Amino acid sequence: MRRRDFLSNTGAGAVSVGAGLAITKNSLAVQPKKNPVSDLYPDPVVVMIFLRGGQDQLNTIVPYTDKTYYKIRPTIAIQKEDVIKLNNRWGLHPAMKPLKRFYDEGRFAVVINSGSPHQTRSHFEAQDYMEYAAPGNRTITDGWLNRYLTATANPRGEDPKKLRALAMQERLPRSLRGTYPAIAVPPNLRDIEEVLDLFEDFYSGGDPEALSVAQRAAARKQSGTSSRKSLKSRDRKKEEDGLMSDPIMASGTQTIQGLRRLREVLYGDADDSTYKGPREAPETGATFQEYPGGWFASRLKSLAKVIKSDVGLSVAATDINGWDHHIGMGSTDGTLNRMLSFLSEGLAAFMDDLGPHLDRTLIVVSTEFGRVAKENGNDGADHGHGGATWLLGGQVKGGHIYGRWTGLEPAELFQKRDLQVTTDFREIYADVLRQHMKFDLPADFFPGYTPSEKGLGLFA
Amino acid sequence: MRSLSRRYWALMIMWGGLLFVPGLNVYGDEGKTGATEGKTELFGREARESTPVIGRDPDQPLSEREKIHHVLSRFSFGATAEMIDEVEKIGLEKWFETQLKGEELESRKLQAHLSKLETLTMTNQEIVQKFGIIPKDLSLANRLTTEQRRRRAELLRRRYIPRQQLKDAVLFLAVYGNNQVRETASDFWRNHFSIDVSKGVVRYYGNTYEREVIRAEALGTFKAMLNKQARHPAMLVFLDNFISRATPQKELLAVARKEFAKTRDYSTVLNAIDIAKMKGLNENYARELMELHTLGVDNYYTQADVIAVAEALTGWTVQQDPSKPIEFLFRPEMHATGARKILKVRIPAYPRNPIQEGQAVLDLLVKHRGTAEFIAYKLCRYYVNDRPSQKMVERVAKAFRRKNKTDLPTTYRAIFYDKEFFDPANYQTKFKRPFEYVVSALRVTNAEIVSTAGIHQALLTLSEPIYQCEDPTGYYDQADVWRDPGVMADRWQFGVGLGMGWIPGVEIPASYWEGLEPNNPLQWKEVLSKRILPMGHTEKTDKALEKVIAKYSRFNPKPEQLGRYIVGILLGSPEFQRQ
Repeated sequence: MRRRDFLSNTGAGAVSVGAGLAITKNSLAVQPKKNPVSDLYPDPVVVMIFLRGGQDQLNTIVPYTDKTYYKIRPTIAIQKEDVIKLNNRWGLHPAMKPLKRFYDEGRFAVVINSGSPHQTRSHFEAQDYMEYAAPGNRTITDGWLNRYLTATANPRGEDPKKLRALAMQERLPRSLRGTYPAIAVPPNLRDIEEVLDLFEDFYSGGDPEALSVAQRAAARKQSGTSSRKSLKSRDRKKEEDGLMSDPIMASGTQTIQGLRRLREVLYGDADDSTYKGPREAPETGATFQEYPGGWFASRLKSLAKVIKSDVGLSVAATDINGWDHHIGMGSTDGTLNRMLSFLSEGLAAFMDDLGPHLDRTLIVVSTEFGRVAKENGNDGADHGHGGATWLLGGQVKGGHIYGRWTGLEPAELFQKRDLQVTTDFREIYADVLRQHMKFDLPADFFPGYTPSEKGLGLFA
Repeated sequence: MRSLSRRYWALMIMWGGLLFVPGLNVYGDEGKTGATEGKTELFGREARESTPVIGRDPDQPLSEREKIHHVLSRFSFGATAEMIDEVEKIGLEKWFETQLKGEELESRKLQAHLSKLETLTMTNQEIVQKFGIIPKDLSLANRLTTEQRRRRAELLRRRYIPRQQLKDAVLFLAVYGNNQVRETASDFWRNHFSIDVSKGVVRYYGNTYEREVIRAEALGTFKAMLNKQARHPAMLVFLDNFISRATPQKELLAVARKEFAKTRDYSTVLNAIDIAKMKGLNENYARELMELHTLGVDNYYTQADVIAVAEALTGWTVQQDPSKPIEFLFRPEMHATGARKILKVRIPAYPRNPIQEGQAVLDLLVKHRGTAEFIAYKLCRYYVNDRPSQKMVERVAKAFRRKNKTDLPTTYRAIFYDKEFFDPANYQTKFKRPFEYVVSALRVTNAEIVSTAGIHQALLTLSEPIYQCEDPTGYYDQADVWRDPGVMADRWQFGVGLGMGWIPGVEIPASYWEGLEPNNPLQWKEVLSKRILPMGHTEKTDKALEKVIAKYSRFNPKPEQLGRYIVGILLGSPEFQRQ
């Protein structure tokens, strides 16, 4: 994709500068931003929030001047007067009001019509492909964030005081599954101290690699190689080795190590850290917005504490289920409204809470696909194709709507029904890794796909 | 409507009483049928899926007792030493064949538990009438007195009774049921044709769904189960087909208004006007019917097929007026009649009998080879190995398709008698799902369940509450979905809690501690570990166990206390996570 196309959506307020680079008033205001924290803290953090079910782009990032939009969504469209206007073309769903100021400050950007080129409209398949960042490839069994963690792991072994990867939920999202032992945080973290001690001897010494080895065997088996045969032909080592490479043992070992450390950070005094991050941290920002109630906000609150405690967190993730709005998505009164405000309020409080740490923390909000352009008559819309990816915080050049818009007329839609995917999600993830995480992206990081060298220009 | 006596008789068979043919088992998911792309050896090592138990050579074929243990690990919710003895006496094959009939008498204990669950034998209509109606005078539109508000709150609470009883029944049957092959099969199908009783009125329809669809056909035929779920109110509402309709009709709106005028006090279901306002095709059910229930994801079908199937199934809806039986209803005025090409087969229009258009789709799917492949693959994954061999799947698929019967006992038999089933590579290699873990722990400890809330809470914490899988995939049954670093902590909590008697409403009976010699903790270790891990444990576990016992003994615990502690630890051991 050409950069010119990509940036063509900044609307009327845009001033053209140089080779097709459009900059809005808002983004100009952001230019002189200083990064006091990211200078002190070397570790960038990415927080991946996955909206499961297929989040609808059209009612979230609303093309409020498009007549066709109102024609094909007669019941559920967001009316012009309700939209939070960003420019003369795009507006936000009113439930996203808490995020508007971040957009104005240049800390919130959206890539419209982004997603996977794979045609599947199955949630489960589309999610797999996106979280493995390998559409159509069933042999990949490590999530994309896990591949990053593995590639950047300390080859001499990780400092046990370091908590590099957390999922703030009962189980890992697929993007975090794989070779690197990311930790899923159980809901009753407060009560588990005793069992961690009790089971230490039963589960000690498990080799974390076993977790992914089992999955690799799965991929191989699916591609026709018999694991039985390999089991026999390969070294059948003595019991001790077998135990260590047992994935259940490995899971137990990691459970004990990771959760102990997390408990220290959240409930204890984490200052005994032997991890040598810079100590003269500036005061973390005042809380401008209180966290709302509910599980999402409370997960983000814990996460903010981990980030601010400076214990080497690199990747975190949490999911929000329930975006599959076949029925009752509604306009400003339906399920989407409720869920967007839940999400937006939580994110706004989180970003405020992070204070200066927001400069090194990038929040990525993704979904497996968008929904059909036309409403389905049940106050909702069925599974579609292109969707919106949000980027907040970090050094994102916010105050922009990125991505190429192709219109809503049948001929302009994917298979005459869905938003087209004009930005492959791997382009965005590649930029996240290269520019935000400062990662030297290996050529084969995305199997069978090479992201453009230049990137999308999402970051300052 | 069927006569009451006939219905009553049928219910007695399905849920309790003399004949008792229970069945439950939990797992389903989208599966991935053997993809052929990319044969490259990507990585260099193999994991051992099983850890060697003391004295077991992993290359040796299974001994007779191990075979029994293996069968009881997969076709029941967990083996105890006594069960192994019992099956050894009966003979393994004979035990299995008897179980396939599902006619074993159930214990008094189970019957006593089930008899307290009144909704199990009720119809949808009876359940809605009794639990789902808030009288008009208690509507929030009125100014309510304190007393009225209290009554309203009470009625709102009662709405959860049917689904609570459903969850209890599933639990009791899994733990105490004598027809364990039926129980595990039901567990499988419950997750294959998964519904979530948290979704709206599905909470009232789940009880008949479990009874008439899942349990009734778990030892029946796939064809019958598929047809029943496609007509069951729970599924039609859960996957939105009940509102999927052809073009809008003004006349229908008029009819609906009239209907609504009659039933307006029924506030908990979408009313007729809502339905009439819905004017569109809803693809949700059609897609999952092919993706999850029959062919497997993107297997043989296209998006065009999804739309065509959705059209063929328009009008398959639910009569939800509680003054009449709540059941499947075909509404021709919602149906789009027409000839269609589906899965490359031409399905003609049936203008005089339009319901036949949807029926033809179901018939086509039942016979489709993709369905046999997918179902066989999932069954092998459930009963044999997370990664079953293609060859075995093919053999099982063949049994499934035999004479186009889709007979399920025949299919289970094909798995049991398959040469690969007893391969040592499949022995103790499945990681228990949370439901399997909890149920097997309750079984090996002979736990008395006085109340179920503590167990349901534990299942929720472990991410597998019964009948509440949000995704229509059902809960997955592969290890890599369940054993993330971090999750073990919750299992340990449950295991130790159960042993120590900390799970509310659950008690290990006093008889469990009989036979423990006073002041001989190492003997207790022997006795209790035989009960919980009848085929032994590893050296590592043994050492760790001794260490914990030595440490705990210093506090001079009462014998039973130490016994409880040992049980809790054994339930949390790596060995007990496997089956």
